[in-house]
Amino acid sequence: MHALPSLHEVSGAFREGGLADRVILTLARAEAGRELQNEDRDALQHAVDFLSQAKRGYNWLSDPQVSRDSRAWARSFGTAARSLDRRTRDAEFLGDIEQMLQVVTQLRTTGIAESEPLKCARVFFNRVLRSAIDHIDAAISARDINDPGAPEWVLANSFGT
Amino acid sequence: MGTREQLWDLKIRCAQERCQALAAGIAGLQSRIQTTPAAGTVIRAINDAVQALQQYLGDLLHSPDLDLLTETELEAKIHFAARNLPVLYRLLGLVEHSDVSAVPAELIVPLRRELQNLFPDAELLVVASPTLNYSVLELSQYLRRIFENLNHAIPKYLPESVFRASIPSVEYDQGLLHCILAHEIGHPLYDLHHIEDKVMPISIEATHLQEAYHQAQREFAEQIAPGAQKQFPFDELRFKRYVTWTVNEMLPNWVQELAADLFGFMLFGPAYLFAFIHFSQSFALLDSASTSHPPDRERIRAMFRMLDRMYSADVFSQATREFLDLWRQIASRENADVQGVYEGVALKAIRDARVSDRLIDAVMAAMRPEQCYNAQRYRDDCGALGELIDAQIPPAEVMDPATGQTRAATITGILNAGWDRFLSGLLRFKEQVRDGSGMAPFDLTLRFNRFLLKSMELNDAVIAWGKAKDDIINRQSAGPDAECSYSPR
Repeated sequence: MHALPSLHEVSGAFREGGLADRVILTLARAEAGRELQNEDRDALQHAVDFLSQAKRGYNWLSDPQVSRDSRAWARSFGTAARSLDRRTRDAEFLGDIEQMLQVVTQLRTTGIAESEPLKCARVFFNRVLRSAIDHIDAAISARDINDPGAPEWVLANSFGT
Repeated sequence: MGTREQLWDLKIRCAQERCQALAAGIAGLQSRIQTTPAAGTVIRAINDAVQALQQYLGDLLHSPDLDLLTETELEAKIHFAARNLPVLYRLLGLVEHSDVSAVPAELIVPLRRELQNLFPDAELLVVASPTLNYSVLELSQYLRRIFENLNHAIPKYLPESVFRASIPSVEYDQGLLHCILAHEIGHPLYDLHHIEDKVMPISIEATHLQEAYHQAQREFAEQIAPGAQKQFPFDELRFKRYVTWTVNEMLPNWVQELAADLFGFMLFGPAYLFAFIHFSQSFALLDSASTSHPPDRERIRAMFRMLDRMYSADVFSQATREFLDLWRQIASRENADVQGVYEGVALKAIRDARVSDRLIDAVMAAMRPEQCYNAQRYRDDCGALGELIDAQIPPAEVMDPATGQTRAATITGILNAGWDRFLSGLLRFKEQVRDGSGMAPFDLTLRFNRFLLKSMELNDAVIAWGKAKDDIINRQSAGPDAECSYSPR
């Protein structure tokens, strides 16, 4: 009757974390001035896809259609929002994502990017990786696996604390 | 070696020790007698994954360019790799209690046969869990993911699919309720036939969603600071993320659950609907919904839509018809008490006639006629097998009136005839049971369920003997050098 959503969650988190893991190493190589290899370009393409999906997820409410794609957008949006600086406000979200999108796109096509935005992207993708680890832990311990995107006050209430 | 390197080396060595401990635990499990070969295969794959993880961790510190990573990044990288370990523990836990002492052997072979009719390369393992729940989970996909994470080749011996069916341990002899497994088989069928892509996209009325959004904002603000919602400094980004995630999880989950019910109905016929009502209504609220499951009333309503398409009222006995009429009425009432704003949004979207028609059409189109139970079979089974049940003769095989030859019954036939007699109060069955008239209803039901499980076991023997007989005849006609094609099960 009830599925075991936790392993499904784990699988998704491994996919997302694996992507972030590769992107971080690529950004570190770029920052150190190393020449990018094909695998680095692949990793950057995944980063572009992830950030583009996060943008679409952010805008989903203005044209709410549910599909396989929209589910992926919602997930990427959730992960991206959790991985930005905690002080990021709604109005700043798109700007921050757009800036990172420009950095990884430029890096992928030209092999170079400005240092400061590159550092920000590195911090961001490391948070994506840590978020994936948290997701795996939560899913394995069956803690809050139903609503990983829930605001904290919802979770606080649902657990009666 | 500097402090940084020593720390990472220690972390990796600790993780490797945990791998060794897990490998030792696996060795103990491998000695148990399993009900199907699948459990042994999964345990072997977990063991290989543990070895691969140990190797991967050992190689990690020699990866190129790691010196470019910050301490935080390197720590996250190591921990991410080590997270495969608790997942392997979890997978191992899922295989426990699948040995012969824990599960009803009568159920396993017929269930495996039903499954392999739908997924020819699949394997099955059955476990008894101490929860009031049925589930079917495909394990190979998670093992493959772990091998991919570790950049390791996927073992050739790992089947495309290994289904782990779980039944409640204390109810293992409730044969009639085990029809619930038909729903669980519906989940992999949903993926196999890409039903989501045939039903989606589903449009949600933007104004309806906005209303729900604002209502939820008010409710949450009220929960945090009662009476002060206007001043509440609302975190718009977090709320938007929550709403987007919730609706995009809930609606596809609901579509999948409804489709799994419809597949369950197609596979097992009315027996699945009867089992669903009897099982779920013992503990679930009719209009309760969650992110993962729609309200039961909606599920029953969807199954009635399919039943009314496929079965005319005259195929059912009077008692069964009365049961169905009652539940049709209950299912058609409005879901007045569905809690939660998003549940309301999802319910409205899913009850759109175009969506429900697309869903039923997609499920029906996915199945080949020989895979489906139908009205004619139901009528025949309730007639011929039902008479055997009344006489307390296990309905393992049935006589073809045209030829006078006997043939094996089917598991779905036994279960549907069983449900028909159960809903009729087991009157004639009770007459055949010693002290049946003084027996408590639950004891009689239990006796009946055990009788059905025994019938399935005999039915399996009939099928196996039939196959062996065919093989012997084929070999005799092919000549003395022909090889035996049947194998022990």
